[in-house]
Amino acid sequence: MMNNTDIQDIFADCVDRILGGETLESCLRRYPTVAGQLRAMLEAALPIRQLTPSVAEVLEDQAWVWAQIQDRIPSGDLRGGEPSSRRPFRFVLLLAATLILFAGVVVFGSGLIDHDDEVQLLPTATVTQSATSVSPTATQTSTATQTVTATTTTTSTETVTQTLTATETTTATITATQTSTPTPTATQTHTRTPRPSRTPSMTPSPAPTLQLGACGAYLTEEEVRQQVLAIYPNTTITRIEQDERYSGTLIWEVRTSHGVRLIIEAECGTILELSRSGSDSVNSGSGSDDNSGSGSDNSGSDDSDDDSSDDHDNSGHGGGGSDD
Amino acid sequence: MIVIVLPDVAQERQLLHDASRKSQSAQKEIYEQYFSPIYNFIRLRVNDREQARDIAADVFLDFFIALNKPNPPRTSLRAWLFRVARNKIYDYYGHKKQISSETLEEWIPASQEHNPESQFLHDYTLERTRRVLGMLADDQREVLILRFGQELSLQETADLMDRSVSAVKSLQFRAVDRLRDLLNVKED
Repeated sequence: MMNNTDIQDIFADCVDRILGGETLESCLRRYPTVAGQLRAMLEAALPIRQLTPSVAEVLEDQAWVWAQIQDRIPSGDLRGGEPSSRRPFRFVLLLAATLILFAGVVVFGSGLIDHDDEVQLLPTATVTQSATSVSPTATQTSTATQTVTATTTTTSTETVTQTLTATETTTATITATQTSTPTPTATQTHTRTPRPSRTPSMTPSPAPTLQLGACGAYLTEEEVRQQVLAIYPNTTITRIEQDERYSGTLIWEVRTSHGVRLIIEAECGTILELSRSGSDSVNSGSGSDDNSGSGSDNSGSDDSDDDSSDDHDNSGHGGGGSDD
Repeated sequence: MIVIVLPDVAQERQLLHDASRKSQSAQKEIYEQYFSPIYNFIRLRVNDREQARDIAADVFLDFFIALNKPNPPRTSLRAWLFRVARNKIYDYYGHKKQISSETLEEWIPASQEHNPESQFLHDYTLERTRRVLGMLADDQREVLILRFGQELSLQETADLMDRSVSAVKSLQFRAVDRLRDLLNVKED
């Protein structure tokens, strides 16, 4: 006689097997004595696996939530680099540092010509420091340092030119090359210059699959095409055309081979409409949501329920203690 | 031998490692990988779609903020996300004392690609399941959603629900038994 624990274990085993890919019939064959009861229970429970929202709903809300997260995380960590507002400041810093470097090289270079080798070690230390402070912006410095190269070549010897091709630490090597043994120091600086660890964060990724929240230049036809194919990879685009809708909003209308029709805002990439042929629009009004959610606060969340604003502030990461 | 599909732990750890180092692609990959299960989990329990996506946004916002903290989640990301989602659902319903029994009323059947003949039966079965699921006690409904809807293992479900594995086994059995009664499915 089978007790309750046994049948619970058998049922749990069958569930695990089916979730792992085994068929219902195969599992029932393992337990022929309780196959009838197992079948009835499993057939009742397994349809729960198919209770999922529509693909369109998930995709739309996935894009919406991602846009919300981007708006609400101030650091810009999710944007593939820093917010554009900080870039001019960084450029000014870079320019200033380059000028200091340039001045240091010129002054120091002229000092080298006026005097001879022995006394020239101290200034290099200060110049090098200013250069290293710029180091995080490694990729952008390349053009600036080229200018430095041009000016110093006119006044200095050929060994200076050679070492200046290495970006930040060039001045440190100037003194070394003055001593007429250029080769060892030159190779050292070359090995230090590449700092690829920072470069990826400086360049925004070209086309994130669901990057629909970032407004900027109008999307090109190709960009729209890529976005749609990222959402529906198993389809082909049958028609794509630009138009004006909703009181002058520039949009892309895209139709796919599966009968899906998307209206995508050309400036921000927001999906304004998504429908299938033969059915009504699957969703509408996402455009208004996106508009309302584009600010720093989460305006869309407080519309329906007064409690929700409290909920956002409560992270509630603990065990919850709310099982009842 | 029991076969359970588990998340790729090594890949998940690598993703977490990269994400905590501010790799945008890793963060995006985690988001795209986990949004759907987390959203489905929330949506099965929260009727209001806008509210569901707000909760989902809060869950992932917490995750990305946690990445920048001294002790970011390092392992079992799925369990971490589900736990936060579960807590937020309880926060949402906290003021209302109980989870709505009508949370699945506006649920949209997933399948729209079947042929018309089978579509009716399919939709009918799902509709009945949906209605009956909403009639179960909250813990019974939750265990079924986690086990069958999200395909979490017994251990993961037990961890998430703060129960023992044997308690979850018992709970899921009773839940399915009750579900079957309500569906009035006949035994062979």
